Amino acid sequence: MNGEPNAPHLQLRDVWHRYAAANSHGHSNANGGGGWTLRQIDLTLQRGELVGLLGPSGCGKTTLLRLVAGFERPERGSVWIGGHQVAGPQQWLPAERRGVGMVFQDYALFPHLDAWQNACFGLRRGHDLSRVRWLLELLGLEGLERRYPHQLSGGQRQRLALARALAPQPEVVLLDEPFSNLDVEVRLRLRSELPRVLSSVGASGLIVTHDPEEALAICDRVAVLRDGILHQIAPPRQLVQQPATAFVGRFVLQANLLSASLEAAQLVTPLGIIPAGQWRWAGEGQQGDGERRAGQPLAEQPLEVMLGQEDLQLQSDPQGDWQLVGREFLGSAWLALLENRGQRLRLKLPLDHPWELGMNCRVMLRHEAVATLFGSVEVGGWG
Amino acid sequence: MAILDTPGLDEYAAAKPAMGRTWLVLLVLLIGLLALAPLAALLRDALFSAEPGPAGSGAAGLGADAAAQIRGTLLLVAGEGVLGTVLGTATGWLTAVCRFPGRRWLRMAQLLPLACPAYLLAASLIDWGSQNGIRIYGFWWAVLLLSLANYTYVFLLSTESFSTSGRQLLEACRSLGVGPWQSFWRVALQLAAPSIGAGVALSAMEVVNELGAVRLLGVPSLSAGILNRWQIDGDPRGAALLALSALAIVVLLLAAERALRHRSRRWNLGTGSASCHVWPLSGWRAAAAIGVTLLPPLACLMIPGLWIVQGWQAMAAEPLGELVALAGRSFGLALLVTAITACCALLLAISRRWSDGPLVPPFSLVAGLGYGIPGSVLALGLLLVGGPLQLNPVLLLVWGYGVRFLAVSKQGLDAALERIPVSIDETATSLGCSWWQTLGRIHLPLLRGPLLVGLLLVFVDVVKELPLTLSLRPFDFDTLAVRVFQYASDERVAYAMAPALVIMGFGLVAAIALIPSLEERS
Repeated sequence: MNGEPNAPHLQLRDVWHRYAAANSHGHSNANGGGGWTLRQIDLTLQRGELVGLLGPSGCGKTTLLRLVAGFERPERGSVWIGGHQVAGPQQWLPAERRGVGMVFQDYALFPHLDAWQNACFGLRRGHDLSRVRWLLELLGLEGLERRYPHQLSGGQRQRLALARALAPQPEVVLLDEPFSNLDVEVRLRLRSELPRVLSSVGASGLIVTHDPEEALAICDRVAVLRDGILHQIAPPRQLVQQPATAFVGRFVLQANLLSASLEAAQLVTPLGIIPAGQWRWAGEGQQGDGERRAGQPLAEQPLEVMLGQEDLQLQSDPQGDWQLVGREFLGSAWLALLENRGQRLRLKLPLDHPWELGMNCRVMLRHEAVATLFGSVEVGGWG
Repeated sequence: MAILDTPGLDEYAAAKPAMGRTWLVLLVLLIGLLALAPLAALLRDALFSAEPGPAGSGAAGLGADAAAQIRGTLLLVAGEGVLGTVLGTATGWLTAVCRFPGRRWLRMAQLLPLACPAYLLAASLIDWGSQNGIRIYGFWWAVLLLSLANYTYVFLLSTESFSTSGRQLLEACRSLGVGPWQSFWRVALQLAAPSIGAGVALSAMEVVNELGAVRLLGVPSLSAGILNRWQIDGDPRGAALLALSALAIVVLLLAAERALRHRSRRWNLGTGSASCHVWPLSGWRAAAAIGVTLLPPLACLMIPGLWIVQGWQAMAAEPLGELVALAGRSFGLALLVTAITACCALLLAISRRWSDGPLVPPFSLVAGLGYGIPGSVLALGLLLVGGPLQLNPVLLLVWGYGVRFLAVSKQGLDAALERIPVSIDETATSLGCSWWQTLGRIHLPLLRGPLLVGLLLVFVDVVKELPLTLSLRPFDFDTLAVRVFQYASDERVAYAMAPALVIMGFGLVAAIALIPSLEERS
């Protein structure tokens, strides 16, 4: 379909979805009351943008992709592609007429067709095939046209799936964990190719992944989903510097989260007292579309403080509360694992740091570091 | 420590399984030989028998009626092949990937034809027709009834292909802008073609095997020809030659089925993860889908159903004692055969996993091919083996059932065993289990479901079986199926109703037992 020139390529407005089975059996799953798989999703893809949908498995990210593709119909809200409504209360355009490209997790190549026939599958008879030739060249598949899918390597299949999706010139391409079935080396190479390929065909992309590193590395913006709720959508850098919720901090940054309480302006934590000036509320000084829905929590509420792995330092002390219970070698540093009465901390130590398994120690916030404080009331407290 | 009492721990661990495995191999060879013996006897008699038969026998002199019988069987196979393909593919596609009211129930309903053997459909339709002044006779009626009775084989295999490999690929089609009809022709049908072909080959074997329906409808066929030549004309050599030509057809069908299944497995790349139905139908399309999927199973139920309802009073007159005696023989035979085939199937399935000897796979394969041999051919072969040895006819009958239905229980077991990864066995072994401990503690508990389904299917198949029973049963040893056929041929149809009802009842139980495996496929 040809969209209006200035409309965003893709827009979801207040989309809610649940599966029929969850409805009819009356059971609600982990995603809160009502069995919603997705709740109140607002998302916009500007022209040429690559947006990542990031979240743990079962968070609803693949469902979101299927809603856009037209394999599922949202129960509330609307989906817009190129300025036209394709799904809404009174509107429904079936998948085959949406003109949205899709790359499936296991590629879904047609096993009875060779690479060339697969790539041309979505083109009408008499269509100019030079684009397919160009795409195969762009993706490094020239010379493999006569091979069948089972004769291609994993990386080649993945690129063929992308070529097939791009051949009919879609404005939006959906990618469902496209790199998850590949070896590390191939995965790294293909993921850095993807933004270049998409921009050279002028398509915008929505990519589902459960790997924070992957999303932060290649996406223009990243949307973090959990239990069907959008926690934050922001450019990678903002996501890292200003996580909107404790979950974003934990999942995306792998940061430590400890319970805390406020006394006057001081923060009381299992590490000791953090004075005013060394902590700030989450969302302070935040700009852009990083939304917070929890509201500013009251002082009496249970609070969580987020401490990055690099923000902490360690000092050997026989009287210390924390015990070093394990460590991992990261190449450029050690990752130390500490325990204190059921609470756990992960922090990075320089390679030359003296340590001994089982030793007691004290953990402190570095002078220059700033801790982030979250109200424990997370987004999604409504049903 | 007790462990020290065992002389040489290493020896113990290595020797015991090896000995057990030798037994396994020998048992597999024995089963294979039992399956091959009747065919070998048939070959010997047909090709090398020096004893000249009565006039008109011999390869050159099989005569015009043999040609008509071969032609009749081939035409039936072709006719049923076309109609069965259409019915099985249409119902398989509609219930696997389309969404319309009642789809779930209609999907299960496709199993109902398993409850109605073709001879039962023919007997009831002929009688119902004669009461209403319609003459049911001849080739086209045979094609129709055989298709109704056997299209389920095509349905089962096609629907599996449509709903597993097909579904995700269909979504890929949609995302590329390709609509329902186009994606059916360009992708789904092409991918399902091997499966459909395998299903057609299976149903064609049933057609070659069919005796009751073709006799009642007066269509010349190999199955009936073999029996006539042997029992009425007293020409065993001519019968053996006819049986060989039937076998030739079946061997072609078996080869086609095997090759096609192999191909369909190779194409099965994707995993059908999505649980939704791809094409919602509404309006006249939904109505048409309901019609197409409802009519065949409805016909299979209504033909005997209406007939029984119309003749209800006549049936009540039948003495109960006779029915009990018939049912007793049927069930006794069925129980015996069920137990034997279950043991053999388990042995074959397990030995393929545990033994790497070169003899096991081919013999296990041969033992599993008996389902293709037409009942009358098998009966002839068994008599050629058993006659000189003066074996009890009931023993021959059980032997024949075993050869024919071993595959029914073996198939499910093999599939289920394939789904248990070898790493599970290796885990058990590394934790100290011998192969038979692994069998008892891991395989048997995991295989219980398919084993039970296999038992039930064999039981019902034996109760329904006609050609083998009719040819081999001793005098005065009628079963339910034989009685239905005999009364129907004598036009004393009212007496056939009660046994027919019992057969259908059991057939329904078998159909219901298959529902879970059908649900698994969607």
